Amino acid sequence: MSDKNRKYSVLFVDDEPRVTSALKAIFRREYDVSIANSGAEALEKMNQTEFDVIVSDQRMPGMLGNELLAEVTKRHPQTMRILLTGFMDKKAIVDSINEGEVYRFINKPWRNEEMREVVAEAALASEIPVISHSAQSNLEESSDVLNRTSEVEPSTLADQALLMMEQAQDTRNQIRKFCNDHSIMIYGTQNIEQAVAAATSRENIGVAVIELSENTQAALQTINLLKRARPEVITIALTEEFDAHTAVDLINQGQVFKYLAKPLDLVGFKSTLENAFLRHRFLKKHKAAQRRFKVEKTRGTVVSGLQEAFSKLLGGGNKQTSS
Amino acid sequence: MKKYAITLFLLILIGVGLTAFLFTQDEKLDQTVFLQTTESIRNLQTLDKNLLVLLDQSRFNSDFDHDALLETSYQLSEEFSNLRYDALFEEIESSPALSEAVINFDENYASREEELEIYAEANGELSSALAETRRLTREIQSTDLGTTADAVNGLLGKINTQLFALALGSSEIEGDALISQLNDLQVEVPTATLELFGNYKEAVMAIASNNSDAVQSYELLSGLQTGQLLDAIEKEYVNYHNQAIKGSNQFRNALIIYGLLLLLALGIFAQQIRRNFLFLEQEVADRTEEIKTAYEELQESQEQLIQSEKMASLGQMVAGVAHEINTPLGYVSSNVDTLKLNLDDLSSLFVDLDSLNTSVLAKDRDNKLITQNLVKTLQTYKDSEAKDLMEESGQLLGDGAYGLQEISKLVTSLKDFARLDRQTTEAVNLNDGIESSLTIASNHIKENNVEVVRDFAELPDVRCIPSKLNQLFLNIITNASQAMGPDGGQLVVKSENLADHVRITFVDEGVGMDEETKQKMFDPFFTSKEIGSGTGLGMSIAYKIVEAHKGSINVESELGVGTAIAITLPVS
Repeated sequence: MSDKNRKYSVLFVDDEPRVTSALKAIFRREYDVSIANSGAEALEKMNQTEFDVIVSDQRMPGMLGNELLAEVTKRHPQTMRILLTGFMDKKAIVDSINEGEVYRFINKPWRNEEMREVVAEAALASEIPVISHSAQSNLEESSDVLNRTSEVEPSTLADQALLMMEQAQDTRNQIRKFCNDHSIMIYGTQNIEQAVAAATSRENIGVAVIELSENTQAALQTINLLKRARPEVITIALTEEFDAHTAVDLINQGQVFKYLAKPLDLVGFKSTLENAFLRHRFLKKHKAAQRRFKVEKTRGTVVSGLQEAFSKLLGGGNKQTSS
Repeated sequence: MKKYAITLFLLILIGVGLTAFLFTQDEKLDQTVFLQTTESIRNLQTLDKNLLVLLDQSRFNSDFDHDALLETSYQLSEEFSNLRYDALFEEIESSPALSEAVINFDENYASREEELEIYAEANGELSSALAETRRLTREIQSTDLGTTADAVNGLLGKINTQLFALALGSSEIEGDALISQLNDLQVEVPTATLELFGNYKEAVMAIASNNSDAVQSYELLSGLQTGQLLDAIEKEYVNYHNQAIKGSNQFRNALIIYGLLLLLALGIFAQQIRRNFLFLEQEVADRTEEIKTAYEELQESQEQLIQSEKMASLGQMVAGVAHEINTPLGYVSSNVDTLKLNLDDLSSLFVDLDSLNTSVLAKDRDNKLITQNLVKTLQTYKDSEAKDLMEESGQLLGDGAYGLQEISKLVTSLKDFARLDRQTTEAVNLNDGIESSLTIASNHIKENNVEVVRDFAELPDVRCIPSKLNQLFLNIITNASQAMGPDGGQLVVKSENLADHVRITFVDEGVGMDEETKQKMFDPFFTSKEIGSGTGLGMSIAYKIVEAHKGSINVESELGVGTAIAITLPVS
């Protein structure tokens, strides 16, 4: 489907027509731009044409941005989803991670340059085949209904390897017990150093469960570096309390698969893990697909020692470092 | 504590019962009663002895009054009845020994009384017959007995001797022999004495016939041991009395022991109560301290809550306004960038135009060059789609101007709303306050798809604290919008001029309230929103604001229909 001469198609959704016309003015030169002024209109347009990227405002009357993106994830999984958030609405952001599977968050007021970069990346990533949403969200179907390119893989949890970074005793025991019950190999760690050591030395790790509350900044950087070093590893973030800024960073810099609050709901956790391992196996097989989950470089200073620990992991492939 | 009280009460009740019982026991043992009873028994004994004496006197005493004997017996009977049915009645009931002694006496006494009557009759007859014989003897002896004198005197002497012996105690006279002798002699006595003699014979016969009865009765009577029986009664009575005293002493001792025990129990209770009291006192002191601390903490946390309510509404306001500003700011700044791009596109056209202009104005005009430049310029013009570009730029500029106007309107509203640059109390037009509150709340209004309908009247200026009233309006508008979300509805805001009052009415089409919620809506901390999404102080603060302005707030609401809040404020 890649056509060098084809312009990527982008759909901008905002209830304020002046915003959509401004966005259209920015992107019309490089992209095939469409606009919609409500969620319903956007879904209607998407039914007529496939879009490569959708950029939606969060706050809209009728249908909220995260609701629209969750719907798009179901109906048009190939379309890359970007959420424009004017105002930090925690629940909407968390929901958009867990249900809408957004590629990036962009804060209002946006910078045109940033917007261009993000849309360009998303457009490129849209070329890459995707695991169908039904495979991720529906356990019943996950084993047999997959998208156009990926092959059918058993959705069993057995003999998979999990990296856990968690300090709270009760949650650790809960996850250990869960893994034991489902024959998942678990590498339990309690801090970043241990987690990094495990991630660098164990090739078989497919999913990382990382607790954020202890040192959010370091945990975020760990997730970011881990994602850059081993893009096939799927990350699930655990937190005591949701935080909108962290959520934005988790997506933009970590491409976390899920952002969950403690205490864990084990039923939900099981299906989350199944989908996470499914995605991991898919990404391992299809290296190119990893670009769909590309992350930004972290901002700010990297926690001392972390970069060093990861330099081995990052190896020759990606020498870029941030300081 | 209740258990203690019940136990104590029971103990006291038992004590009172015992004391009362002992008191009746003591009354029974009254010493005077005892003395009286004993004296009564003594009286009986005296009477009994008297009776015996009288009985002795009655023998062969022709002058003896047998009624005295019966009278004494009657007195005895009466005294005994008194003793039996009055003085000793209860004792007889409760002492079998005493009862037996009394019954014994009673039986003996009853038989004696019968016997006494028989005796009295017999002895009476006997006595009068004896007297008769004596009188007749003298009369016979005084008459002329003739030849029979010796025989008669001899016989009479013999009879007299026997009668005398009888009086001395001989129990028998030879009645039949004497009668036959008298019969024999009667034939011989002279006729003048015959009648006397006949009478004499009858008297002797009467003596003979009555004597044995009288003697028999007498012996029976004197043989009765009533004295001993009375002694037995007295003995039993004294015995009973001593027993009773002993029993009563036992009761008394028991009562004393009980009293001591009760005292001990009371002591223990008192100690217990004292301990409880001390404990309670400590407890009360502790609780008072706790309550004091809690009260202080409550006051503090209430202040904090009011502060956090302020911060929360401020935060909500800031977030809402920020969002409102964000949108125009977003497209305005984006448009500036885009316009720059558009200008860049146009600039190449200007470069071409410039070189065309230069070639046209050159002294040595090169028509070929001019044509060349013209073609190039026209081509650039065509490529740049300059017309569209100008049109788009015009639109972007228009949008930009609109956005800036929006932003400045918001900033003005913020200034009007907070009024930090004005004096606190001021006469203002409330319509302006409502308008700025509506602008501040526009994010809420839009978010909940609310359509605002303004029905403003010309209002006189109202002296008030405008920032407070604006806070009140914002609160009501926000609540009304949330009540209508997300499906939306109409919010009618009406202002009325009522001469010296101003009325502002907010009518929404929200979920409404039931009676209970309506009753509580002004209570501090009452909230119908989810826990954590409000402090529950908003409406209570609103109420205080209206109160501070000497106004009134009136709420009408119906579930599923909507809510109308009317605020009436005095103009001055």
